[in-house]
Amino acid sequence: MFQGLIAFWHSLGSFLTLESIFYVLASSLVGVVIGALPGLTATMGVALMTTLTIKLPSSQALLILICTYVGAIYGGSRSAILLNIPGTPASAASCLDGYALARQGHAGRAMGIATTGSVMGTLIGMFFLALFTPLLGDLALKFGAYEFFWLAVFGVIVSATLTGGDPLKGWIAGFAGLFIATIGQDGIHAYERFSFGTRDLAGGFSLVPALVGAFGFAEILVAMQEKRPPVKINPFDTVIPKIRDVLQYWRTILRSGVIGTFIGIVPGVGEDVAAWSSYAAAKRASKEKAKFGKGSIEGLMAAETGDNACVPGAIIPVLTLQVPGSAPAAVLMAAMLIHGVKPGPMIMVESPQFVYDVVAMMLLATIGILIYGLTLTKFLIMVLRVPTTVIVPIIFVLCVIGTYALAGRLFDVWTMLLFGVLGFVLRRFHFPVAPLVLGIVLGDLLEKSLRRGLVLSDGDLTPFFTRPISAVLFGIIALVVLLRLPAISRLITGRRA
Amino acid sequence: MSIEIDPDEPLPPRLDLYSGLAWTVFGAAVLAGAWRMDRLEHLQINKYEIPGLVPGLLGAAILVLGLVLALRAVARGGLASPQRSARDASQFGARAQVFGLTLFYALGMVGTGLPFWLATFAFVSVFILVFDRERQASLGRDAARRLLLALTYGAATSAVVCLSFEYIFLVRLP
Repeated sequence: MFQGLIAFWHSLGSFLTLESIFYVLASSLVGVVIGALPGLTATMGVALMTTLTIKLPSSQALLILICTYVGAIYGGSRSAILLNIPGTPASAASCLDGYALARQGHAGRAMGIATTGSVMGTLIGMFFLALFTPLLGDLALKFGAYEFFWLAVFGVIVSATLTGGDPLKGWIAGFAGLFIATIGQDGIHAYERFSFGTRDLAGGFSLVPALVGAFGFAEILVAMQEKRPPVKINPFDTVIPKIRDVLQYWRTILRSGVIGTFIGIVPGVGEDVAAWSSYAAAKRASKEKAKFGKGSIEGLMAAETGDNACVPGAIIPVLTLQVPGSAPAAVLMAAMLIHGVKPGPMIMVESPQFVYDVVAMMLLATIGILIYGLTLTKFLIMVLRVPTTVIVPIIFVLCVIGTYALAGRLFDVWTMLLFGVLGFVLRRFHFPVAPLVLGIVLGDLLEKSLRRGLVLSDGDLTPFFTRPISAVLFGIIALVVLLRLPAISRLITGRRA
Repeated sequence: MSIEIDPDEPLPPRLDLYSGLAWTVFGAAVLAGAWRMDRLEHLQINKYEIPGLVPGLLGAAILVLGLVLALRAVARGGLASPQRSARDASQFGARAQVFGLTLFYALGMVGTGLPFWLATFAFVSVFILVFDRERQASLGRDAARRLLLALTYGAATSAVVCLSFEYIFLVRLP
């Protein structure tokens, strides 16, 4: 415990330089602006910033990415409250009560609540990040090929099931993502697969251009076809949060923080599910249920605490298992690998200080959003007035030059375009993109683990089902799939009725 | 990750049928490709290490799930002819323009010998001129003013992006 605290102080101290403080302030601002602009998401922001920070030292680059991530998730609340349009999908739950409060003339108070909730949520998540990462790291050391195989399947299946819509389509997208990860040289014998003799494809698709395409270019195409109504801002009062609101709803803050963090830990689920789950839990437990959806302080507090607590939560499995808890965390993981940081089960053995570095980065990001939450209202309103038709070409130019900057090759730009078009088409046919991306991230882990496991057991499948952790993971996957089968769900609903 | 499905906009079962069949064909193609892949017997590798194993399993899974999607769409009336909404038709033109312009910039201008600053200036200016026309017109701005604004945005974006990438991020521009 004390060792952890000392390591945290050491990490925090290392970031207290003028250069780092500048990066914190600049990247939190970029994150808040990206988050506030409807159509631009945290994933897009983190992916674009990854391309821009490629030449920086790893600690500074990751500091920038974490501040952008936290800032974007927070920034989404501004447009949710002021325009009734969630800046990011994570803020959709905040529209319900945030905008209702704004219409009642309490937009300032709503923004203050959102700031308080986001700050408290990030702090709670940060606490669990510091607490659970070493514990989960110890557990991860017990993982072998069999467990990692099921973990990869678990990530794709759970992400596909929980990201909304049709789970069947989510599973197809997830398996397609896993397949895309097999394109190029295989990880054991370097045999070229599905590269059709192309030298560029022999190396496979790089993750960051694919993410910039799926979450950047595709989102641009979607944003361009959605007509945004002219911006009308309700009059607002002071944005300084009231201590009374924090004290009155401390139970909601704590509950939402815990829910958000734990949803973050589940691979591939993410901030929007965290916000909705926290909101639903707060409504169930509230004495003022009737106020929810009509301007409930408690509802807004729950949604904002939940989605921001999810951010540190989503980083826990990245650090310990190399499995992302959300889409932006997947980009963050890719950035860590690009910068030579190797997250995974060995992190607490090889570089335990890095875990506390991330906790310190999270604290600095929280300070960043607190500062901007209290000061930036008028500036953000000005940003919200910039039309989509002006923002879109600039973002597209950044998508192109950002992916090119990664390795100086045009193939990465083509990859970005391909995944942008693919992401757009999938969205049009109501296939979720998140499981596809998670599949690409987890494909290598799944393949290596399956082949290693089969070699170790000489083709015997028994260890995949009988080893304790494997059995638990398989049991959860089977349960998730079975519950989504129409016959089974009808049986359960029928019995309940 | 995001809840990306818009529940207000149900998809006609016919489109699910098309996508289900497309995935079935794709899964079958992957499976066939994996089956025909070299098994590296000359290297005497373990039979569970053959490169086509995992793609083959994934191809089979995609094939089966695609088939389930197609059959489910048929059960939901996917064989009946879909009603094409007016919104779809009106959106198609605008979408095609955005696609065309972005792809022309990324594939036809960047990396083809044209200076990056010029390509970016032209792309941003034309994009704003074309897609911001309606909004500008509603603000009562005449054609000359609209052109001037678009060129200003184009020049500013090109200058900021090129200078920052070249001199701050130290990237050799395409």
